[in-house]
Amino acid sequence: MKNILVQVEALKKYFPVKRGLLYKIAGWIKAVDQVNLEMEKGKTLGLVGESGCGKTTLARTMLRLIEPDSGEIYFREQPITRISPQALRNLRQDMQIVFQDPFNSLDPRFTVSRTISEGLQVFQSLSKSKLADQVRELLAVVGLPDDAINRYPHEFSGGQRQRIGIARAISLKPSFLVLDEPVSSLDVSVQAQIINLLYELQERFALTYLFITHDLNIIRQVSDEVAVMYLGKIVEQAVNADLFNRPQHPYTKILLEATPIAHPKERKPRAILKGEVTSAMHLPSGCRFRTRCPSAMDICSRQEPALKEIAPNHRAACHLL
Amino acid sequence: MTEILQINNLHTYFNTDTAVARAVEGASFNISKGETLALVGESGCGKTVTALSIMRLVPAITGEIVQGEIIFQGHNLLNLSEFEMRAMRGQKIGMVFQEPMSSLNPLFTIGYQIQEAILAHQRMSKQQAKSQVIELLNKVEMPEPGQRYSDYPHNLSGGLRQRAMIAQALAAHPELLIADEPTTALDVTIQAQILKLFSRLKQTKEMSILLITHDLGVVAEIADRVCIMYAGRIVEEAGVLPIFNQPRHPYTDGLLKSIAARNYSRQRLMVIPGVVPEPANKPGGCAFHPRCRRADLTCRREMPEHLETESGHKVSCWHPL
Repeated sequence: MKNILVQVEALKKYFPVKRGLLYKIAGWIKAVDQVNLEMEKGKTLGLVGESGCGKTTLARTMLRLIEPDSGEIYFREQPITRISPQALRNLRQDMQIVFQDPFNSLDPRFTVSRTISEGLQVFQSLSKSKLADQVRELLAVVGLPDDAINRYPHEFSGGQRQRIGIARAISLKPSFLVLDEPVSSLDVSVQAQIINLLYELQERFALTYLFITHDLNIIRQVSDEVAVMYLGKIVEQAVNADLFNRPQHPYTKILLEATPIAHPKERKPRAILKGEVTSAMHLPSGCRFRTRCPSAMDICSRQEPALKEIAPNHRAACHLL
Repeated sequence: MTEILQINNLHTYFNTDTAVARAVEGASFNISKGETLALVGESGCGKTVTALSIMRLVPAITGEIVQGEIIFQGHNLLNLSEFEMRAMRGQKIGMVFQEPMSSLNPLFTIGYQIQEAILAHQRMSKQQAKSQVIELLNKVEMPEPGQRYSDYPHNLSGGLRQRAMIAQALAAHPELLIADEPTTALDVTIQAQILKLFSRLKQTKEMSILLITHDLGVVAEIADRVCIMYAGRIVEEAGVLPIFNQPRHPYTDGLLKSIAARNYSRQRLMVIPGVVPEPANKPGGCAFHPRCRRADLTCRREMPEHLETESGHKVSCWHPL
């Protein structure tokens, strides 16, 4: 039996697009559309997709940083979509987020100590010296020097700033951590350092990660399970090895094909996806991917394919399957 | 092969309030006719400053080319007057900048901006220029080029803007194209399209390309030869296969290892410890020594020479692999 920490059922979030003098609603962006997900405790779920596909909205809605329009989120089997603000506040200790851009997600006027200890001050009444001890411990955990404590974000490099962001996120000992493109803005050699740190923390504190990125190489490396998102929908989900060795959905296949090769000896002519990601406001009828799909059929414009189990622990949404 | 560009011992410095940032410090390399050379390094290593030096676009307020030669088709660009240099830019050497979002002027149509580049170097009627622009847009595989001609940059997606930038750089048929991180801001499927476009340009034209990137995947896809840059110098230079098969510099080796392990799920990455030094505060001796496993006293004290270890493979290291 799987030990599920977070579960999402038919989650939906549409954003209105307002236009003109009277600010009338001109349409809807279906950022998250009927998404179902299960996250196993202590594991990493990789969420991959191109920009604008709704990855970040999905994650933020799961944390209730954005209110869903409909659907249900379960955390430790408790529904949390309609809990009281007080209960939600307490729950925040248990679910945290690390943001993409370490340059904009830290307050430039806060010292490292204040940034990291803010959560502790809100939720735990600690004496000043106890608080400082905790901050020092957190700095050590994420691999920052002791003297970082009274310095400001601008004094640190991108990788170090990301470490500060991670220290802040784990300060309240959460069990669920959303990592929103945590290494995308870092240099390759620093990316490796941060990924190793995230592995260590996961083992040490039994963390469950939702790892969001557009980089399939990173997803392949860090995830136990992978979900591929296209225009607000999960189109394929499988355990790591299955997804990379036996991709089923045409979009997943094309994404894998488009990922740069690791060695020049692998150079080959490749099938390349034509066109751009369709606007999330003007979705095609039926399957959202059909306008770019190399194997689109008649039925694809008429009926939207459901996400169905095609092999054990392998789900995909395509009429071909 | 004939060399189209030779850079000898280039030094470009920037004066800050407190120190001199030696962004490029003794870089030397050549590009042959029809060759694609990748200049690879992490942020702050001096890649972009090298490109700006070739174009003589280093901001004059703080920056200065202190020493060195940039020989393009037999002429030292550093000895040209500003007037003569203008004839070079665009006509002989084209450049694609990193950010397609901010490098196009939002107030002018795509067509106008490309036409401007043509009319700056050739006498022809506006009508002729327009048909040339449409031809160029066709060449970079812009969908509906006639319509795109009168679109503004904000009407286009990132990938299409990058195509417009490339069309602009190709407008006067340059013999050398400098592309500074041309795919960094793009999604993988769009990146694959742009890389395919570059390989086609390589085949159909006798044009040399200087590709600046931090992404070894992109290098593996299209480079003929590679220069690895670290702290303002070229530390290793070789054909693309030898670089990937048998890197000699510990830094190159570290970079390759930090991406190579991505094929295997959930393994600790080989890591280069530390970060790239600030250009104003570089360590003495070999600039890589604080991060290098093989470093000894010589490395701390003396800068290694850039020596040819085997035909076409040069490395700056006291203890090459």
